[in-house]
Amino acid sequence: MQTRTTIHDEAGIATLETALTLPLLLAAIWAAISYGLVFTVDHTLAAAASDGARAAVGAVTEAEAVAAAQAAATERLDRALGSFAPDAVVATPTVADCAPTGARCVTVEVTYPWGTAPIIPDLLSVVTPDELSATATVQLSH
Amino acid sequence: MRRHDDQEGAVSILAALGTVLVLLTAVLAIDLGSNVLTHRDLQGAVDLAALDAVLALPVATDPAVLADQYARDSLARNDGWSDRDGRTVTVTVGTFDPTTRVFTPTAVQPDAVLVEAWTDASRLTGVLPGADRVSKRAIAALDARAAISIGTSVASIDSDRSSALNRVLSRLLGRTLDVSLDAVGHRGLADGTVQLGRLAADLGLASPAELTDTTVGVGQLFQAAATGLSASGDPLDVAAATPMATLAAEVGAGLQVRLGDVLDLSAGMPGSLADVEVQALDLVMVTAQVVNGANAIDLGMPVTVPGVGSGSLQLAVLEPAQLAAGPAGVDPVTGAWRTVATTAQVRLGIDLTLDPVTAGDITTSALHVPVTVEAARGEAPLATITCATSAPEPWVTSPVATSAVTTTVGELPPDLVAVSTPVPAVTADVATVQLTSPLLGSLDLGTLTALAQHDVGSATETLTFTGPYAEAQRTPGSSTLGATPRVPGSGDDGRVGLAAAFDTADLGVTALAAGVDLQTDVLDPVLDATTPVLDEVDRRVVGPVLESLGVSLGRADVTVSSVDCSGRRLVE
Repeated sequence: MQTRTTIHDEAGIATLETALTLPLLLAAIWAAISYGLVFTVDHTLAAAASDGARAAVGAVTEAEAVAAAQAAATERLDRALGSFAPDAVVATPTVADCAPTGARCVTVEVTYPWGTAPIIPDLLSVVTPDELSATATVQLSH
Repeated sequence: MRRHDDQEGAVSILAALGTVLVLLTAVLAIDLGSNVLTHRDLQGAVDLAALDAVLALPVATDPAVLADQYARDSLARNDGWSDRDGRTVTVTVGTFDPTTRVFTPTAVQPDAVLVEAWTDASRLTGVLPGADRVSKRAIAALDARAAISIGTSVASIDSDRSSALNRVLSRLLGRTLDVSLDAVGHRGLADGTVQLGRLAADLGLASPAELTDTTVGVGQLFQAAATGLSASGDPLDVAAATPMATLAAEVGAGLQVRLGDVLDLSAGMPGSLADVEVQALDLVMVTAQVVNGANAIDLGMPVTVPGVGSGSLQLAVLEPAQLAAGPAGVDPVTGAWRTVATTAQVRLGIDLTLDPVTAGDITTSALHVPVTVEAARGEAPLATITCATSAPEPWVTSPVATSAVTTTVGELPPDLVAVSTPVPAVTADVATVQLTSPLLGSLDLGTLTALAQHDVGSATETLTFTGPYAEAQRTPGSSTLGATPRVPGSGDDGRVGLAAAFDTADLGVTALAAGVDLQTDVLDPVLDATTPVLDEVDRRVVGPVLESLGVSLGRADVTVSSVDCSGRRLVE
């Protein structure tokens, strides 16, 4: 009788403990994966912005610089993210005077709306950014 | 009971340990990621700083100072850089050898900038191995570009050359076409330059970069070139617009050409092509060669030279010429020149019938003289482009290799395209020889034959262009260019030396009567009679035809159309 009572006391303990701890472990693993993906995307955005800026240095006109930067950045995004990249991922090259000399510069800004288009469901939105972005600026003229 | 107590909380303990392990791993991952991020961001910023700094070199009187400023400004823009917080940067100007890939600091005509930067490593835990300081460097070099062509710049176009140009152009573009430009029109085309940016716009392309992959109608191409020439504002270009428009109208619609086969832009950065210029005549002739492909054509060209009864010329362009625009130097991976213009590889079959020769008692029938001229490709690579503030124009050097030419006196091959290289030498029957004697009457002495093959190897001479551009130069600088002597008798005007080649032919008569000296009674009179005739055929027909294709013996015309010093690239 005592033995049967003890068995009843033990029944489900392991299951209960697993049920309590597994979500924490899964959350930690999920967070690690999310962080890795955020880091990867951030790295890709920086590389795309940098590619765009480098491509722009070969241009003669500002319009060609913008076109070359756009093409290079987009190519990098397509190559690195492929079908994972939502349409909202945009590379935006702009030409403007740059500090402090007032020379003309092209700035390539690449943004990814992670909050609305995460690669995996963003269950930890508190610790992941709503938007990832990177910029790179290169001088076009003196 | 003890067993029960031992089991209680086991999962919790394992979970706690696991959680700690996961969290520790996460912290290390974040630490590692952050460190990688620092390395990546610094490298990216240093790369852009080097690219900005090299922009100072062609314009600054003290390039080191301006390069330093440009680099620091760039770092501030891209990485929020300042000299505070343990960050340091050094900027060094110098020269970069693309072959050895060695940067040498120097303030004398620098063409590259080395930017080195240091910052503290990003560390949360401090447990990861690695240096406390992150160091990154980048070298950017000037990457000037130029447009170059070889062989089709006809410096002096007279009526013979103009006639040959019309004939070759007509037959390359189509058998029914009849190009009717005069010497003035050809000279106009030779002096005009077509700007690629304008050409692309007039063809409706978004940028010059699209030229490479675009196929257009030949008439449309020539009309777009004419429009661009007309809008140029340069009197020489405007003068070239009229003959170009005439050509466009005569060619009409139908023929198509892929521009990438005419212009080798593969080594160039797309954006820098807008200001590149190519000679109008080069564009026309190379386009015609590409359109024809490797088809043998009968030029149908009359050989109106005294002493020539009849003549025909067959032409095969095995490889068309190519214009090139791009950077200088050797590709470090392939070891090949990055930008090379070439002449065409051509074969010309010449079948002449010369008037009979009479010398004393010896007479010949009409002389049949078949000659094949085969020219390999000449090359003009862009070796160096020096953009220095001390010179008014950039300097360009090109080690030009002239076409190797083989002249064969012998039966013509049945197919100029399919025959192997060099063309096999087959003995040709030139004429029958007769002795006319009062006692014996007319006595057949036999058949005069000829067989010779003469090679003139490629010669190399480095040309230095100092501008202003477009600038044309001609090799050789002296008549003793290269190790291979020029064919005796070939003129300095680049003729093939047809008469000289025939002069060296192994002439013989298959049967001779006693008392007739082969050399003095037969060969010498034949050579004396044919040499001036062949020399004139060379000067008035063969030379102009080959020159219209950019080929001449032992020399080359090289034109650097434009130079752009604004190019720059990361080299390390």
